[in-house]
Amino acid sequence: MLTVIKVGAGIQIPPNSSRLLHDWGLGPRLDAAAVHPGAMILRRWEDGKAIGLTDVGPKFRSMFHAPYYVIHRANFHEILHARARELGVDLRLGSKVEAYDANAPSVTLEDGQVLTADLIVAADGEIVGCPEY
Amino acid sequence: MKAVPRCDLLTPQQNVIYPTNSLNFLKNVHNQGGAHEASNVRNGSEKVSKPLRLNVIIVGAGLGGLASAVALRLHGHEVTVLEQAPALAEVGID
Repeated sequence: MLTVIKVGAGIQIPPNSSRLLHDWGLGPRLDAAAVHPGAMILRRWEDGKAIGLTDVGPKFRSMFHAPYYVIHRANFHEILHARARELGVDLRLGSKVEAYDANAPSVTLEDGQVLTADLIVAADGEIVGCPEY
Repeated sequence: MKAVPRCDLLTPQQNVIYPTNSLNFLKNVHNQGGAHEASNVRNGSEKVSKPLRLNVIIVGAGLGGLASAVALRLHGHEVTVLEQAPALAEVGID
């Protein structure tokens, strides 16, 4: 019996985005980990007949000077993580932010530690996280 | 449908003074940049404005947080990423 299981989200990276990622030095890793689709085909629901086609193959890549990638979320995350480490980003795990102070600006961690910076970027998601300022 | 759990960080935020220090800081950075350019043109001086080096805290080591970290590091800023999870594993919005 064939079983279909969910393995997580795929992320599409069009050339306007992949060009930026290449500038950040992620090209070789993306080329290795991503899927390089040849085309996007629109099909009629009734019979599956192709009614539209967007070629995103090599021609597309040379036209926009960057490729069209489709990549698994976990792979993309790992690539960004590796690059951040390489560049000397100070990544602190197990550090839960309990409160933001927009006036300091500072964040307070679960263990009571208060950290200040010139700038605080709240990249903690749209559901839980930083209030809007 | 289950109510979206708005975070409790929203409620205790009393008395935020606008514009906040973060906003003022960005405004000053912007204004200083403009002033440098203007004085260079006026004096024809060789003065090169010192590259701005900020200490930045990023909260969250998801795709957005790590991408921001990479971009800011490549611009020469000091970056600290705070992640609540004890290890990085696949998370995401389904």
